[in-house]
Amino acid sequence: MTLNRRQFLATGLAGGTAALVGGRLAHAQSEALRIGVLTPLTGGGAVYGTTMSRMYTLLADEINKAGGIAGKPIQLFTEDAQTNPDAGVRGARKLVDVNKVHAIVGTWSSAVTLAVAPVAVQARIPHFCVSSSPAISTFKDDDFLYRTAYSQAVISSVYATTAQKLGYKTAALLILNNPYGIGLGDSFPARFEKAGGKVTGKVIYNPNQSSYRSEIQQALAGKPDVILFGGYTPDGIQVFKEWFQLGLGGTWMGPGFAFDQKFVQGIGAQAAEGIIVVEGAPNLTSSAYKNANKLFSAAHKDEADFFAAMAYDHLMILALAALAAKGDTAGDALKANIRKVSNPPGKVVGSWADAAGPVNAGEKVNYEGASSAVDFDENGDAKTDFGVYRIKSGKWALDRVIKYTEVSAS
Amino acid sequence: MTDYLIALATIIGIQVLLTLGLTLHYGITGLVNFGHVAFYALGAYASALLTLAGVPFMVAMGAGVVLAVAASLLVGTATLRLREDYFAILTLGFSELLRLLLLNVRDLTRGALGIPGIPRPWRAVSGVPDHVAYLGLVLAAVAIAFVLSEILARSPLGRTLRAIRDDDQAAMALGKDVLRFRLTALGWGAALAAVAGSLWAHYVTYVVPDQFTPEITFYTWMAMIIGGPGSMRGAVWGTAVLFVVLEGTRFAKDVMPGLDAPRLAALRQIVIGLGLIVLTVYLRKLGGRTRPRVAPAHVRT
Amino acid sequence: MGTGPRDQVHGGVGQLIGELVHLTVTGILVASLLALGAVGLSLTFGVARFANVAHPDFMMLGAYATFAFNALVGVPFWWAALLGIGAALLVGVPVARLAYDKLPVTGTVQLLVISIGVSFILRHAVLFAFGSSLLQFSVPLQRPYVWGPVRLTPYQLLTLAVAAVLVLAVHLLLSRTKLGRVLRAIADNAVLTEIAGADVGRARLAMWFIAVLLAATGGVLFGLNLVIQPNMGWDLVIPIFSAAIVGGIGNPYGAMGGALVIGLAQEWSTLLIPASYKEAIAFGAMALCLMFRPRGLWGGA
Repeated sequence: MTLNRRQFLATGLAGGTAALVGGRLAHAQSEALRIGVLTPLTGGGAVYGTTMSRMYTLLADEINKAGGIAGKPIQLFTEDAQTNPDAGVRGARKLVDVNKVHAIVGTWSSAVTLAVAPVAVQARIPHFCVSSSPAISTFKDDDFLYRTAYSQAVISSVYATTAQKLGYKTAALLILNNPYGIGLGDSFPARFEKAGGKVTGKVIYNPNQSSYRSEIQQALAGKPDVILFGGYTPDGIQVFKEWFQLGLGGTWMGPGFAFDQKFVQGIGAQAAEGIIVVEGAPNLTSSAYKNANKLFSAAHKDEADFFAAMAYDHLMILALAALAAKGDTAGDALKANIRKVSNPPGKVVGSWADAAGPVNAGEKVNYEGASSAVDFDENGDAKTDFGVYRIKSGKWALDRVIKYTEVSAS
Repeated sequence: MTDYLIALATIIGIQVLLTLGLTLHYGITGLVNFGHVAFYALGAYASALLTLAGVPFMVAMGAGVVLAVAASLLVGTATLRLREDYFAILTLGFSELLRLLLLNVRDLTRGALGIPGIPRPWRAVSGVPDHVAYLGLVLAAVAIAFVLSEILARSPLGRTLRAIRDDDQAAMALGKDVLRFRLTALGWGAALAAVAGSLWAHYVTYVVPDQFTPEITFYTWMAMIIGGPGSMRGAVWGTAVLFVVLEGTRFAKDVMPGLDAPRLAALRQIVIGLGLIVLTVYLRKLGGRTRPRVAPAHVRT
Repeated sequence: MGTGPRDQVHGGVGQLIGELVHLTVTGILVASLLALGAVGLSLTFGVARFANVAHPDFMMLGAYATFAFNALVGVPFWWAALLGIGAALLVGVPVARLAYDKLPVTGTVQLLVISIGVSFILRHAVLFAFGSSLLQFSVPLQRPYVWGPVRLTPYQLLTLAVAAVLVLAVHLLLSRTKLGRVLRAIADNAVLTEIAGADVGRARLAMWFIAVLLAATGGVLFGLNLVIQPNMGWDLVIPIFSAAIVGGIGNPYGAMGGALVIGLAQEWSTLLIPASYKEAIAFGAMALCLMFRPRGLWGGA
């Protein structure tokens, strides 16, 4: 069987074009709030991206069931960023140019966020991300780029403060080789030294290695009082499993999204005992979080994690902003209302049910979110308080709260 | 919609340069290059770093070309005498080694943080929107590359390369310095890939090592196979078809809600894999070799 | 740069020796995993005469099949492992036969490209079915036995034992059985072997069976000690090829030696260069080997 090449090429071109045109025709519909969901569904961030994507869908459905925004529905368009800036940019272009979305949400990897941001800025639409690279704070985005996650620069101060308060004099770092881990590695030592500590070693590890024994041993070699872990849950499970099976001991500290329930289940309560977890707060106690968690766990039988909470906040803020703009979904209109609905002063709200009425009536609200108070500073960063926890018997036990006023981002 | 088509055309244009380069390598000369993305990466990073340091765009692109060609000569001299599968694996390994270096020599490349804010080649082009002007630049590059490649393919050099591809023993017997010719082909293809890399970097304005994985190399192989490995025109057509189909499946997802996006993405890659297999076997035989190579019992040095 | 080779205080010679022992133990562990992949690869590379880039993906099949039985169905780990390896054989051997033995190809390049396609398909089929999350078997964590600087858990000891037994079994098969003689003869000279009346077709089937069996077992042990993810095979392509090439293609117990060389070299290298470059060590070893001693350390007829 041989195919005539010309026939083959013609068929392929025709088929592809038909799909392109067909896709476009399917969206010549009524005006509504169109949100481009650009999370990683494959690649290194797939676990978080899938969770976020689900949360966006759940909240959009909830808001639409309640009548939508001034009667018009929220429409979600999902593209897989593949944890790859190349795919992210192509996805963003499609969302912006074809689906004509009014905002982009959900970019997770700092590399993807930094590649996609110029596309959003050029299209003059808001872009909400969950990335932690310090470069995002200073990115020239004409106030279109927002992040609900904390910058590594900020959390480094928190780690340093926490370590100091717990009496640790020496620390080592075991960090992932990506913008988040490297950002932590760059930000933490100076702050820790300012707090009177000494860094005994900084070990960078790559994902997808067969074994991390040597990296773990290197990190523990200087016998540090505490080891700062800058990775994610998936590689965290692998690293900690090896660490535990090396039987070397040591105290670990790291971010909440690395040490979530999946992590604890993955390595078992015994191995997780005593880990110090630093996480954004308020979180678990806010009504927004309770709503988000209820929504998520009913559908997916799983707790809403930090990323799901941020996704909830992104969509809620954009929906409220559109409502506050009296249904005007243009990027500039949304941008103008983002801080109006999420920053103080105003009536504190935590759900669409609470907020829709007041916003519609022209009242100023202050949405307190599921992932933080989502009060954005002039760089578009959310200021978050932090909670310090210790894992005891497989659960996070709150040790102390560190307010953002105590944290210096210098 | 037009904006999207312009973006798509720009990306296809950049990819065509990669396919033209690979066609010179494999279609014309029979070099099984599985590390093509390395030259792409070198072009992109060199151009990005130099323009950010104030070097003019064309000079920076030129430097990227020189770097890629130098790398190709280095790799080629070390590996071109080996049999095809070893060459393939080594070039694959080389491209991964380069990616590792880009990831870890952070002082130079900023590693995993990537290089943001890469400037466009101009401040503004009067009267023309920026992305249209950029498409113009890419199309100009493709046109020049196409003409040069056609000329090369039809020249005596091209004939010699094809002869080497078909039967390098015979070519050697006729007194041709096979290694030197292969290195020439490798260099030309690397140069095209470097130009593509530079155009890519200035288009997305952000480069990071994760953009330069073997996936790109194999997409290029797919494009080349679709269009027919020995033909420059085929390189253009094949690339266009591949990317239109790939982008088309993106839309299929919107109208086919049954499967979720990650599954559809995985399905797309499975189709690529199947396509590679089916097309390799059933479309006009790969490379137009006139007789099958008999694998030697021992590696030829 | 921040992370020179070591950023911490050296505790003198004693600590250095302790570190060397740690690294050696890790190197041997890694080597045993690599060996299970490399031995099969060396066999198929030598007998079927092409580089099967999808070979490490058979490891992935073994791990995921076992995971399906163990974590999804609830079968205890040891039975799940047997079932999983069986399932991997049921899938892997027919796939290999179809893709590599039954398709009408005119040369090894097509097989190379086909193997890329097979790898794409296998990896993304697994992605489609299981998603991209990192998975673990349902087995308890263990504390290590400690003998001075040596720390090994029971599972790790088991891994070493299983790897050693399997490789020994293959060695015995190749040197003491008729099938082994036929396989070695084919690796030496396929045409003559067929002329001499040996059943080459059946031998090739057996070859695939052995290769997939070893790889699938390796995958299960990899998942037991480390992690299960869709790219677990693809990420090992360079190290496994390197081990097979350094050991000498066609010589399976050379592949074991090659795996030891690569495993130890990777770990010891962390004394001098950052651990991030471990993959580069495997590549470097392979490149050096192919440039200066292509038949490998233990290769040759």
